[in-house]
Amino acid sequence: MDVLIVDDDAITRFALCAALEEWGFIPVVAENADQALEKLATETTPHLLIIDWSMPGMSGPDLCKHIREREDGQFFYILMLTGKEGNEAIIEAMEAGADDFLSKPFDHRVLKVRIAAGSRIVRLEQTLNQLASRDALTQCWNRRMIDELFANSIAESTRKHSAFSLMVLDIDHFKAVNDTYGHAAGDTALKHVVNILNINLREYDQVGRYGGEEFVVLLPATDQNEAWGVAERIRSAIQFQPTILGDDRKIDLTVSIGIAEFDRNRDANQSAFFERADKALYTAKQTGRNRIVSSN
Amino acid sequence: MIIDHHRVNEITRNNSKLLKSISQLFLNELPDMIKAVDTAYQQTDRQSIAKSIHRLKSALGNFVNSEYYKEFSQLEASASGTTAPVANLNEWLSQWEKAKLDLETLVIELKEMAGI
Repeated sequence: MDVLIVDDDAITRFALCAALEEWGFIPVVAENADQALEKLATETTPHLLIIDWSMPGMSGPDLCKHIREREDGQFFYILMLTGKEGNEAIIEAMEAGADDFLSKPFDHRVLKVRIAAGSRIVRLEQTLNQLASRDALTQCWNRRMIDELFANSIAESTRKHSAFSLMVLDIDHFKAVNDTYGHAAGDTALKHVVNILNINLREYDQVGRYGGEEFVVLLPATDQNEAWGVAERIRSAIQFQPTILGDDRKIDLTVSIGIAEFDRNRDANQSAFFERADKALYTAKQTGRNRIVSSN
Repeated sequence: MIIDHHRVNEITRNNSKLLKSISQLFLNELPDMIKAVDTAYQQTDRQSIAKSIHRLKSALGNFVNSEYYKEFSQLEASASGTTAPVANLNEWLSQWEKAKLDLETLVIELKEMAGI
């Protein structure tokens, strides 16, 4: 686990880095609050932080407040280090948003157990976050999370004036799969479809399970023509790669896909945009299934 | 003895290479940290004195015994005027001069321990 050390004192940074490495953590260092905020803005941001109280520029407590004001819902466990003593300092640090507090000079054995406790809380939070955002069966995003990512993608597309396409995918005659092979086999088929989606999508595309056998795929920086290519790759992969059950039985599946490209002038909001892709899916279903329809 | 051998060994986990590196880093930084305190004193800027003492205290916390560390806490508090009665800067300077002499002792002890 990465640990961000924010301290203006080079010797303390050095000592902390050596200790953290020995305890199995990966230290990431910042000399001041500005550098820390840069590190915290990356996608691989550390979630366990050791912050010194007194630093040139923004102080430790102010940095804590800044981190706690983030609106992206990310959890950070903050251990504040300080040369200050007494209850007032503890209260000030905790009120600023620190989770724990350690006075300098600190006993390294105490730091070790405090960091271990912090890392347990970070892991627990990550597990909870995973449970709250993933579909339990397929491990793709659940509806709440994909809706959130959907909103973020629209905002990013608007900000960058970049293309953004949406794919709504539904497994054809899925009820018949459950009725014929049983629900356990139906679950295997759903996992198989998500696996094919993951194999055929890029790293920055996002898949979410929207309902029983309906999935939503977000395709950032992708126009409608490119989205069609992706959709066709997925449609044919699903058609020609049947689900294999444990007893060597095969389930042949097909999917219908509706696609739409975000149009700022046309789509008043997220729902309007989704509705266009969903209508295209409906058309695909009505016109014979196992096909892709683009929204006009 | 100003150096806290037990503490330094705990931080460096008896790793002589690590001890040498961290000691050398401190010895390299020390002149600038002392200079920062002296400059702040010449400018009679109590807050800057307190800040530069705080920085030095922070670094010293890795090496020194608790009595010497407390002396720096005292120096910081009296510079910032948080002690009552507020020490005048002349009194503060005599404390600082004494602390600087002890720093020289610390340097000798640290070099000896690290084999520098």
